[in-house]
Amino acid sequence: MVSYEYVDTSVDEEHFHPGKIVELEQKLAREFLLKVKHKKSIDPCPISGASRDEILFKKWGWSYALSEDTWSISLSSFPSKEIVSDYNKNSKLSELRASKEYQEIVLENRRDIWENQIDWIKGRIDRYLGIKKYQLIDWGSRYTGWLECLKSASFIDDLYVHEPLAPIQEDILTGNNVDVVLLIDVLQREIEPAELLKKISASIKKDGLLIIFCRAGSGFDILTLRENSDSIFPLDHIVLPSPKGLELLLNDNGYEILEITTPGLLDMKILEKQAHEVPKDQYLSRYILQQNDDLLIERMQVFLQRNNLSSHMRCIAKKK
Amino acid sequence: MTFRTAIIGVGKMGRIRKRELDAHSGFDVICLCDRNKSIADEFPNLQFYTEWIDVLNLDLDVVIVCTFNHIAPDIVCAALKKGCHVFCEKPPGCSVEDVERIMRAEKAASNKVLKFGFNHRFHSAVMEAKSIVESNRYGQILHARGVYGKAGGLDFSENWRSNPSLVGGGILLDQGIHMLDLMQYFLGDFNQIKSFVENLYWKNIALEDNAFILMKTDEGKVAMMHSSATQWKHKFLLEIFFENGYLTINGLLTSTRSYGEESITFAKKQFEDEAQAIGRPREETIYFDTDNSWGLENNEFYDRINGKVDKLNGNSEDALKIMKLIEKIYTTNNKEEK
Repeated sequence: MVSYEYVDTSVDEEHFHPGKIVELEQKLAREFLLKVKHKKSIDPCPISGASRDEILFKKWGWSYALSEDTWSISLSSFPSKEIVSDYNKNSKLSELRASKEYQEIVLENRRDIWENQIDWIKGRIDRYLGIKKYQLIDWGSRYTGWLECLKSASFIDDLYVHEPLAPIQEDILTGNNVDVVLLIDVLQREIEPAELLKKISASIKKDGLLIIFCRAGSGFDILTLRENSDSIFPLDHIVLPSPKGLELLLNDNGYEILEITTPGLLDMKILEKQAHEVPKDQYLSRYILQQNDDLLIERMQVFLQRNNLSSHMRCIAKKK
Repeated sequence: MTFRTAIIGVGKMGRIRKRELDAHSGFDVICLCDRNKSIADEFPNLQFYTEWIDVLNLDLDVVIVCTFNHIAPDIVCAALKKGCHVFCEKPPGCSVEDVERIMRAEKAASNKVLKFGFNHRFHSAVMEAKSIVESNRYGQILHARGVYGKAGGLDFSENWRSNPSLVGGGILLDQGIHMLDLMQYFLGDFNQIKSFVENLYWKNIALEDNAFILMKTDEGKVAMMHSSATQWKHKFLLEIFFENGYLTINGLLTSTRSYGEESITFAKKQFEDEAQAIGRPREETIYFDTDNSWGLENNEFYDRINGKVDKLNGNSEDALKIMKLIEKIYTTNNKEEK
């Protein structure tokens, strides 16, 4: 296996969750979630099937349970498909996210990041499949800007979109037997992650690649901030696998792992931004933040990257 | 298909090769050969010989040659003549003449696969580098620097590696050959050479303990290399600079981890308009924790025998090129280029 070290001081949390829209998103998500009735019992872990009894934190009336076998976390009781569909397609939040203004703000903030991510994806495809042009599905797209960046990428011959969220429209043509499927920040919002991986597998050719970006529940900022994590929205983050959990999920569903890494840049910056919300019992984090030492923060982030402890996870898997 | 296989020479490399062949379902090691009879006791279930010539009387498909350099060409030629596929550890003999002799035997033994052990090409960081070079993402290569060095050790003077009649060259031929191979692999053939081939510390041996080399291809790509037996902390470093970026391979995974972690760092060139500070581009490093190089090398050898791949790393052309380069480095030692 491999691990990454990635230093880029130009990226911060504001690029992903700009203040001018994140508060409105939080308000709309909270309003939706507080209205929805759901079970209070604890379901087994959706990744390993293990029973769980430890609630890690509660957010907006929803509980997250820890699965200690893999250190993955997920909602303790899963919402119905109807609730998730309502949240993603018919809520005020989904309306906001589909709006032209929202999409433009996201593009403005993330264009450079997306271009770097696509460059990274190209590098990994070059490494594992060779240097040519490929057929690719972007599964679960939700940003018009991201798709625009993908469309201009030199290594993509045919680009298909499957199961997008508004404002992206599903293609009339569907890609089958493609070389690569991208699953960018999608797995975490699935109530049946194993079923999704099986469905995706049917669209990839043998030895083709599945490239996943996903929030990791074992990530440092999430385990530290828990219910105070501004970027965690229960129905956008239903399942938060750890690297070990993702490995289990992929192995069980017909994939061979080529690499799972956490090259995240933001765990420590998120903690810095929310320093006043770091729980009192998180002494190590509080101590580090109190040093007010940029180099220490950077070295700590590198340590998290190298040891698969960041909350931004990337995985390359090959269809068996 | 499973190939009946013999390993001739059961020192450190022979044992590594055996371990990897045992892990591959396509090879069945049935016989070992070494001048040291006591090794037979470690492998009671295998046929054992002390004379390599006797091994070639067996019904074999593949012969693996892990002997001293001076005898390897004789064994390779004889095994090819017997109709075996042959894998031979580097270096491919002691001289260009050795390789040319092997190539004549290879030509006579039609359809037999001959491969030399240049496993560094199969190290993860090197494979990443190859992918970056071939993708042309940073443009053309401008220049490269390489350091490959180890600490000679307590018995370096008496060791077989320092015996000219057994090996034909010092640290450059023994270890530096890997770095030279990688430099040719990435930059192409070097035709202009300047070198210092020195005995800086072990004055009592007839072979070099350090080689400093400056090389240039016909396209103007320049490479600097240092091969050393006085690198008291082991080191592997290969840097390649492109028109629009760079990559650095640092460390190399080995069984003792003495060369440190294996990593590759790469980045696009960024000037003041893109980076917060010039000379500090946004860079990415990948660290590797598994050395699959031996297994991948075996896979390629097996697939080539079965006709599943056309390309063969470490073929006789590669061997000839590298031995010609080494010979040129030795002959241009400390001389003004005419």
